[in-house]
Order: sequence, then C-alpha cells, then structure tokens
Amino acid sequence: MTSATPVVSGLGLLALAAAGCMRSPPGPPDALSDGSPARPPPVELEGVDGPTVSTRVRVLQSISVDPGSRTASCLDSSDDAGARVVERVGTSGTSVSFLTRDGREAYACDSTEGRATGESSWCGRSFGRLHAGRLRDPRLSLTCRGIDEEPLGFAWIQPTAATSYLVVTRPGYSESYVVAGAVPVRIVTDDVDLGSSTAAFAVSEHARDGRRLRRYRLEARVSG
Amino acid sequence: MLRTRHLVTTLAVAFALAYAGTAAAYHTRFVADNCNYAPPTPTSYITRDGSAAVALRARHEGYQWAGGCWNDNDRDDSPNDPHENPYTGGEGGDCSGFTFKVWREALSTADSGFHQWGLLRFVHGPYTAATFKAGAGAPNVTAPKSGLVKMDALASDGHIGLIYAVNPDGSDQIIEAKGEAYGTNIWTRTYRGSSSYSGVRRVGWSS
Repeated sequence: MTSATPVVSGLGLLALAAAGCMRSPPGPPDALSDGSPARPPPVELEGVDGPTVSTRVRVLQSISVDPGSRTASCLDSSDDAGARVVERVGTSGTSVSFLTRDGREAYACDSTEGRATGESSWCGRSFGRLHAGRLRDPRLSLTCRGIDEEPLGFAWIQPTAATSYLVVTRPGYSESYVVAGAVPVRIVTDDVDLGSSTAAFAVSEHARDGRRLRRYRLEARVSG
Repeated sequence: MLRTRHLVTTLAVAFALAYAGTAAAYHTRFVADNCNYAPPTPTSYITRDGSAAVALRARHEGYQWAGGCWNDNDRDDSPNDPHENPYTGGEGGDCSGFTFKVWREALSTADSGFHQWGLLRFVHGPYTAATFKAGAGAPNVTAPKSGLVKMDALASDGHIGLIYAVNPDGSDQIIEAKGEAYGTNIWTRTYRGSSSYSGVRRVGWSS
C-alpha cells in the first residue's frame, strides 16, 4: 500500500499533464493594453522573481484634459474633480483615478479596451469616501473582463509614504506601478472569485531604490 | 482558487489598519452561524410584484457592508456594525447587494437571466452602486428618471435604492439597505429629483 502510493501519484501527474493541466503559466505580454511596448521597471525590485512589466502612468491637470477624451468622460463622474487626474495603462486594461477637490471622495473608471474612446468603453467604475485621507475599503470592481473573457478585479491601494513602486503578481509575470499623483493606485488582478464577489491581490511595495518595504495579500470584496 | 493560494503574508493592509480598535473588537457570528453558499435556482421570469415581495422580506432586517445574507425575523440581528467594514459578519445586504438579490441577478455580468437566491445565501454579486448607476452588466440599463416605475432603481455613485411606490407629491417610497444605523426598510426619498441619482432598470421583467 505504502509503496504503491508514489506510483498512483505519478500516474495522476501524468494524467494531469496529458490533460493540459500542468501547462506553464503564460509569459509576460510584450505590449500594454493600448498596444505600446511593454518595458521592465527602471530599477530592480527586490524579491520580485521572474519577468516584470512596468505599467505606464500619466498625471494630468484636470483643467487640461481634452474635453472629448475618454479621460474627460470619467471626470464627468463628479462635478467637483480635484486638480490631478491619474491615467494608468497596464497589460490588461487602463484606469483613470482622481480625488474631489476636498480630497474626501475618490473616483475611478476602468477599461479593458485599450484604445477605445468614449464613455461606453468604461466597463467598471468605483467610488470611495476617504476618512482622514484614507479609504476604508479598496472599492473592488468586478465588472470588467479581459481579452479571454475572464473577469478582472480592479481596486485601489494606498501604499506607505515611502513606497515608490507597487508590484502585483499576475499569471507568469509581475506588473509594477509607479506611485504618482497623491491618488490611490488602481491595480488589477486575475485572481477573482465571482462566487464570493471577491478578488485577491498579491502585492509588494518598494522604495525608490527598489528595496522591498512590505509584502502582503489584499483580499477585497465588492461592496456598497 | 482564492482560498488555496500559498501566501507569504495575508493582510488587508491599510484597510485592516483603518479598523484597528473597531473591527477587531466587533464581530458577530451571524454569517458564520446562519448563512450558506447554496447555488441559486434559475427561474424563467419574475414580475415586478414578485421582486417587491422578495424585497419586503428584507424589511426591518440589518445592513452589512459587502453583505448579502439575512433572515426574516423583522429585526437586525447584528446592529451598529462599524461603517464600511466587510469583515464584521453581520446580518443584511448593503445597498447594491440587496439590489442584486432582489433583482435576482447572476454572478456573471454577462448573464441577464433570473436567479433565485435564498435569503440566507451569503452573496453580494459583482455590482456596486456606481456600476449599477452606469448600467453595467447584461441585466442592467440606465433609464430616464421620469419613466421609472415600481422596482426600478435610483442610483448614485455611493448608494442605490429601489422604487417601491410613487407618492402623490412625486417623491418615492424607496426600499433600500440604507446603512448600519438604519438597516433595510422603506422610506420616502427625493432621489428622483437629485442630480446625483440616475435611473437604472433591470431588464426582462415579465410584467
């Protein structure tokens, strides 16, 4: 009985392999969702194994946003948008985040249509209230789907003051985000459980020189 | 999948820290002791009156941020939970979870079919008030406020309530999961006249 166990396990592994269940995870994409080339982060990020793709971030002044742009359609979520708007382009989608002028509310719009324009291209929206400058809830959105039609989770993270880079684990690679604009960082995960309306984000935070500051798993629930 | 990943550290980080001294001190056993994860029963149709009957069973029950499980004993079994804390395990839905269940929606945003969830099934669904307001998902569409009728919704970025009846003065009786301090009930509201609120409709009603 004891000696048969490894044989049975081995057969099971073979069967799994034959069924395609042991495929290696996919490698990193060579382009971001808007078609621009995927690039590595500018510094080595401590403790991040395997390939890492750097997301792109742009901090805009809200008054300078093109009125006909997709970003402008997100700004229309509030009639009290603050000075800064943060656009992010990642491997699976794009997002726009901003705070209201009084800094007490946060808005985000999410899209998985890289180059699409206009209001209809937003597949997800989030709203959150800040208390003493902090969100109580990461405001998970599960209404967007990736190119494979699998659901994606978008949520905000507020890193420590010393954090310059956030890294989120994706299947077969990592995705890095530059902290910018004094707005919570909108991040993406594939680790979604629709049955419980939750998503998990495996995150590490890094200093400007790439040193890891902390590593954690954020479990977020759809709410409100 | 979510539960089985190997982890180095599990934290709800800043969000957990925000609750230090509140959530840590407050947790009910309502969800743990009463709620289940049974699959829903697909139903071929539902009427607006049928949906209203589902909503009325939640009346006088509790409110739970990110929640979606309640009984029918006409009291809040876990009153005064800390605000915006999904981990307190209390009774009730939040506004969007309540709407999801009453509208009998599916976990997949691509599915516009009707799914009957048990009262004690702990489920929130994929929508927030903001995504309902935007008409996200196959079952949901935005609709002009002037044409809203019973069991249509009025949604802002942070809240959603269902129209139970229209008052003669044009205000609405809204059935809604209002907040920890209020629970779930029917109140007269002027959401329809507020620029913060938009009309939302569930598609596919049989009448």
